[in-house]
Amino acid sequence: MDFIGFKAYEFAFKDAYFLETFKNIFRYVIIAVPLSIIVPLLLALLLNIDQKGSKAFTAIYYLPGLVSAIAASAIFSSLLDPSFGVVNQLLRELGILTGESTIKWLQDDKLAMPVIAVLNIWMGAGGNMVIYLAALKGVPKELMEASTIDGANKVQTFFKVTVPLLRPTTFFILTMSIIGSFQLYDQVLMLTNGNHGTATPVFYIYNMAFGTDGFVGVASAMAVILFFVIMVVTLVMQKFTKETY
Amino acid sequence: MENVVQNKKSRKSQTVKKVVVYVVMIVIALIMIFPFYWQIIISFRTRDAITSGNLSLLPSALTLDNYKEVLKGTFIVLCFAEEVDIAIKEYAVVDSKYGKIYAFETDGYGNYNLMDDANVPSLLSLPYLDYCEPNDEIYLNTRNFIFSEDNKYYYKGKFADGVGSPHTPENYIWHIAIVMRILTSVDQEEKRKYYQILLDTDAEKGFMHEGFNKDNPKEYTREWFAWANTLFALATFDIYSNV
Repeated sequence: MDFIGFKAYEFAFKDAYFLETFKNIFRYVIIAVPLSIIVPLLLALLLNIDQKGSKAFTAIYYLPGLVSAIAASAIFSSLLDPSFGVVNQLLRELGILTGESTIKWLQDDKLAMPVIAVLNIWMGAGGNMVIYLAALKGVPKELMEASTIDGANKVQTFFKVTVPLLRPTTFFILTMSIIGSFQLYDQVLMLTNGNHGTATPVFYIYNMAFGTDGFVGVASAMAVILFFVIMVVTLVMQKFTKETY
Repeated sequence: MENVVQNKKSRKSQTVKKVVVYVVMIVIALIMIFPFYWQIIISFRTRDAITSGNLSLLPSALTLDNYKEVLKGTFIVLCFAEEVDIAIKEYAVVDSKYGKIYAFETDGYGNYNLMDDANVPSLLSLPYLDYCEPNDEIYLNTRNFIFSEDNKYYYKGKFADGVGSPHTPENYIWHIAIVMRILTSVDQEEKRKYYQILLDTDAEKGFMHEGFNKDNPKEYTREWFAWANTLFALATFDIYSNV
């Protein structure tokens, strides 16, 4: 057995495809992360309105989160099939698609990553929604009343009272969804097999180690690099969180 | 009087608000549930109905065929596989000077044809076909038998040694059989040796053939044999994934 020092790291940093996977993840993050805050927040606000049946709807919205990523990806790949997928058929019915034209949701360099982001929003919105709901219940009624008495309208109350009080929750969800983004794997494997600009670092590392190449050393180096990237991102996020308090 | 009107108005707006909230909630719920719903619906539809391009969101043209197929297929196939396996262990394992080996053919009355043919499926390819592990004892005994003079289709010449077939001239070794030897071997040396033989016996055509003369690879059958070429690619994968 030979000790090769940093050769594997050198190889990893020179591997253009590996660096490309971080670009791919960035494209995913800028879509998925804002949506994974906005969508659950809107859902939580809706369910926070005291009304009969809210609990049943909470359960329904949470349902997709219970499905395994592989099963959910299988469902989406059948929904999004270019020729007989129900999404394209609906678009054709509505006249948005005409004749033989189709949208190749998963075989398009521009669309594939956003589609995966949407799939993850569908799956993850319920979980984050529950967290937001709990946080919303924790907003003291007195503060809302006080702002109303001071003459603030509902929109002002929301942005000046509710949003600041939700900040710790928002930062928690933000951090978790960014870390989660770096771990994206199952959906990519099932939907695109890493094609069309969807190869993620984890996906690439897995193939590097256990695919036909079998470069376990280089893959391990890449995994360590990924660990440091996630650590740096998390530390930066933490700093942000501390600064706001 | 004015107060009562005001009250009525606000009660009305309360109801409107309630209805709007419910509508929004239901629409979102439908979006959340739709993928599940659709998956369940198409599990009750025939393949033709799914791929026809006629969109019907409501349950229609439903059939239980897919479920029948799943239950029928797996159960019967598994039973049959089990039966075949028992039959092989019972009737097709023979005692020989190599120990217990698999027979190439048997009639179940105690008569055996001990040999191996180059073509796949063959006894040599059993681990490749996932019948047994490459280090299975009976298989290893069979392998020793296959690569011995006792197998009448085993030829050893100046350029190569390997298995031939009743379908090609005598002394013709098959490339497919050599690839199988590589794919089923657990010995890296053996793999490399026979991979080199593959490279050296292509009659400088750059392609695999069906069979070639053990003493002169320039004499061969089938100039173009896609299967042999494909298996050569597999052997290449095998060699380089173990480097």
